[in-house]
Amino acid sequence: MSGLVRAAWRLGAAAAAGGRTGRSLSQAAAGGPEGGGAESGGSGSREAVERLVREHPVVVFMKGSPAQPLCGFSNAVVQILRLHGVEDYRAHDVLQDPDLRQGIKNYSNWPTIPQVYLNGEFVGGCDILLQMHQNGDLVEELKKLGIRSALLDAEKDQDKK
Amino acid sequence: GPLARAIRTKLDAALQPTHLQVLDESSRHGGPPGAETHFAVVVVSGCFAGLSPLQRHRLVHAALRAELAGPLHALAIVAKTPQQWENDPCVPPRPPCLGGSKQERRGD
Repeated sequence: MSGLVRAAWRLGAAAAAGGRTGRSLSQAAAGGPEGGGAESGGSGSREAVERLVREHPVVVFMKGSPAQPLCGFSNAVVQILRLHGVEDYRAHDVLQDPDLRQGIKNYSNWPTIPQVYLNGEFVGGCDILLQMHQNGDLVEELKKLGIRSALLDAEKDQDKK
Repeated sequence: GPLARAIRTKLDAALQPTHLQVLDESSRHGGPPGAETHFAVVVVSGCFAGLSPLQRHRLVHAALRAELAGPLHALAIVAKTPQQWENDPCVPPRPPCLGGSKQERRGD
């Protein structure tokens, strides 16, 4: 199961990159200008974070990766997105990049990880995403992004039976 | 413990909740019982009326800014108005811990 998920995630990431290599932007930034830190234009700077959140309609800052989350709350976000059939999204592992970890908290003025961004806008953490999933808001928000939730198809299949 | 008391005091002062639960969930995240690093709070307050979930959570964060800058590592929040709590007085189950950076988890 995990092998399939890993493959799906890589496929999704590659598709999103549109032919570029699959390296995440946060990795590229870390290899770039020296000095890190939020002030000097490193991976945690406002500009760098802004680029990341606008990179894709669905962007998640988490601990670990979708294939291997390292935190129950981050995993919950991955699982909820998976339930909706959203496998193509950008995920950034803040454990790999302390500057990004602090930078994303400064950017959103939100103290914890995971953080979910839809269309460049901060939506919330795991609790809020769970609420949106339960009350149907997530299906609507995904629809606005042109993403059809898998749950809609699941319902249709059930009706057919 | 002291952090639980501080959280309770600050939330009481900031939001005058009609119902407040402060739960130390640190033992569910690999810490010893009473570690006071991971908390869940259930806050029922009229202050939340008309606010989106995001705005409600930000209010809770604002009240606990000092704790979140310090020992409080994770905070799960249920924020409801008294009306919502009356209609649905339940708390969603917490996600299971995956060990954080201490442990690698094999896939399912």
